[in-house]
Amino acid sequence: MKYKINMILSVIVLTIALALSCSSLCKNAQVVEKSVAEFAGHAEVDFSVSCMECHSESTPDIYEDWANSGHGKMNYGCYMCHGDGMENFSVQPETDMCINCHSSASGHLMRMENQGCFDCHDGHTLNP
Amino acid sequence: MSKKYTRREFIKTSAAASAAAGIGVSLFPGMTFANQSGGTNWHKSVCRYCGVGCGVMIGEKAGKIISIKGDELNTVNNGHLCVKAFYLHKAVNSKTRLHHPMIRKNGKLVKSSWEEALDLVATKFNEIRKANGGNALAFYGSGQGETEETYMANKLFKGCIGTNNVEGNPRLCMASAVGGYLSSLGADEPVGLYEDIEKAELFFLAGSNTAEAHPIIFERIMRHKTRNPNVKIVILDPRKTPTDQVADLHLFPKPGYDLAIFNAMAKVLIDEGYADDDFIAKHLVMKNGDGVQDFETYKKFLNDYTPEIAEKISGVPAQDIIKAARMFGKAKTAMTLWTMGLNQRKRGVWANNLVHNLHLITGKIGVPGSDSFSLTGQPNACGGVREGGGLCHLLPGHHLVVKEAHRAKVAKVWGVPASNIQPKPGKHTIAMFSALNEGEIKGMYIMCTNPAQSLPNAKKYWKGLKEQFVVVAESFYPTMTTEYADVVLPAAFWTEKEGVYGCTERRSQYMPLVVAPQGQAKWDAFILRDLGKKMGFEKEFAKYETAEIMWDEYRGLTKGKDMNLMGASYDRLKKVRGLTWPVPTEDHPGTYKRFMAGDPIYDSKFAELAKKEGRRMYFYGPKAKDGKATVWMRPHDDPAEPTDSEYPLALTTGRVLEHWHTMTMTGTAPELNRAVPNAYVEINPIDARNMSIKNKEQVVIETRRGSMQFEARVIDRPVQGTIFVPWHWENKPINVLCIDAFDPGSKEPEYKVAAARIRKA
Repeated sequence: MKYKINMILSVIVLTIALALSCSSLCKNAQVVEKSVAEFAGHAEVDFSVSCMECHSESTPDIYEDWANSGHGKMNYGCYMCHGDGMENFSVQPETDMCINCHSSASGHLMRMENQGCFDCHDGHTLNP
Repeated sequence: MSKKYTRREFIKTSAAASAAAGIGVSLFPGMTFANQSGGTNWHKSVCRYCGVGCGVMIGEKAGKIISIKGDELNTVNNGHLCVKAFYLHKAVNSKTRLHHPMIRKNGKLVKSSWEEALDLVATKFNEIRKANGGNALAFYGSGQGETEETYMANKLFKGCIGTNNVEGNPRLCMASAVGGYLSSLGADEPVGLYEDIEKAELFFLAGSNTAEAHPIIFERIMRHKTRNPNVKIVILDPRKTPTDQVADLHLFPKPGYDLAIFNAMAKVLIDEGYADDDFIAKHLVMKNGDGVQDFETYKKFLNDYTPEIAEKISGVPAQDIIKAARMFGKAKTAMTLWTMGLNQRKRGVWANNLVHNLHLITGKIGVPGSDSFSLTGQPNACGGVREGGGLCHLLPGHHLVVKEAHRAKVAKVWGVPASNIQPKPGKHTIAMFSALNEGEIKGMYIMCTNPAQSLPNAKKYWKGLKEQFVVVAESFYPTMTTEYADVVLPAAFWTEKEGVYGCTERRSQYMPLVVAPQGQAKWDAFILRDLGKKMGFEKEFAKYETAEIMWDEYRGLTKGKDMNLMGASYDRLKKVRGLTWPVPTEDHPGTYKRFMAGDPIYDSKFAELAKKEGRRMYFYGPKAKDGKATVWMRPHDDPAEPTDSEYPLALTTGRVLEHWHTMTMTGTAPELNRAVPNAYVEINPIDARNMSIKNKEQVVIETRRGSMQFEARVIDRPVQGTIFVPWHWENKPINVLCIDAFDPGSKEPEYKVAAARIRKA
């Protein structure tokens, strides 16, 4: 089920991004007026505050999941997986980024063959 | 000296431009999947940030650094990275990298050739030296410089120019720890290693926000506690921090008033039978300002520090002090970890002494899982500056300028007359910058650090930087210090040079040159070498063709010393994940615990004597007598600037997880900027209510040194009466408001306590 949701979300993001890619080529002058997060469907971003500050109010459940996870305990914030929103942004992050910090798990990941980290581990709670 | 744009603005502009370009070509610009891309070469190295010394793998493709990942074979971090290291490749490739030398002409820094820049520096330095003597020149280096770089600076300034005005920013962060180790245990740097973490039953985190300042150490502690619920954690800090999520007990002292707590804990430990009488009798001496005393005198001294008296002084409830002492006493093993909260104090050395006391009187030292273990803030403060002798009283390899035999030994290796090295220590950092202000020092070479922002009471010292001849060797531009430079030299950055870093746990690790320096940047050690040649020391610097030659000469000076590195050749360091000294021979594995069985120096020289005396440790360091450590009777002392009716709040400063020092590196990663976009002041909710200050309101902090505007963050973190400001941002350089009073022993400034007040903007 989770895999299907991931796939659907990926397709949506892909479609938006491709459309925006084409659009940006035509309207070069306007590109920098929006952040990449906004292009990808994120609400208008206030870059004077952290992602966490907004999301603790706008998506409290996700925030709580994160806060109680290993990442939350280390205070490794949204940007680690989702990007900063200005220069880079990913709604459904790819998981090979995970390995840079969790290189000792590379053998484990290899054994999972075609699966990514988030196929088993929830992106916010990191469970199981 | 106006500048056109700030570093932050420059980065922001670059980020927007990248975003624009990115959308046209990439689905997820910036989120490159480097690990999966073919042709990436991985190189074993060490993290560029804090003193933990995490092993990293540098991903290089087609001559460009594209990614960083943890080195799973490195025992320090076992493959894990913190958020700063994860983005290090962005610092390497930042638009703020300086690619060419610059000389100030008509008030503006303009591009120049290396020849012109170095000729100018050599000519000016020689003119100053000829007219005013060598002591009119100074070098100010860094705990981020490689050991080889500091070694070249030491030789040029102390050995050739003939001045001991050689300092480095570790004076601002670790000098009190050095003073504490030397005066208590007889030798600098910890007894044990990080591997004690997984063997400890109790952690006493004193003046350390481990979760943010040393995240990988925090992760190890957290993991250990999760697996072993009996593990307890006591925190001593005037501020609640992310480290608190693992705390079993938190003591909140008023900033600068914790010495009494350590003494009260010692009293409880002794009164309630937790002292190790046998260890005390065989391994320790008691001292106060009058010299050696007996144990009874120490106990009488402690009578002035009952938990109740300590409560009155510190504000920490007596019951909590008793509880902390009992937890420390009952635990079979205990580690105390501390950093700037104790070191950056007017009585930083005393604070360090009193921590060592707790371990010494209970015998919780020299056994697996027990240690008094100072955490270091910079990656090579231990290796390059403390061991490498990058301070005004030191020579490389734990040698001292005041000792004639040491001067002669080092001078011989350097190939200079022993008389070149002055027998008197030079000026410590604050004295050095004061002398720059006064014109006594007329020329300064600054390498790999940003004192215009980082010095305490910083604005006071801009005068000297502006008026005297200042050379800055830096990888990044602009910084607040380059604002004042007459010459700026582009320094090769991490990955573009090879060398050795020595981290907190006595571990020396090799870093490879992976890619060529960007633009015309050069390795700092070669810049100093070439400057030396141009100044007329051609013969003295002729042989330093490679980093390995410098390292080998340096490690030769460590032979027979407590920090023996003779077994740490480049060939060997390239293969292993660091070696922990003493490591006297190429077949020695490195040392886990000093001063006891397994330490090659102890085994070869002191084991027999120790056995005869029924001892398990022999503190053989240069400042210990008869192999004994010292329990110091250190009384309470107020901070240099106590709060009063005019300035009723205690201002304290520190780090956040995502940023480091003056942000020359972390400021290059948009993700890290995004995580904590701006500086702020944390205010206790009760204080905020009393001052009618609301969350997110603009407020002005005032101290006797100036004022600065911040956004208020009303949060239950700082203890009532205390405000906290992270110190990283160039546009809010809080150190301008900090006091530059310093410890009379270590000369380390009291960044952690200043009297302040707040008003609405």
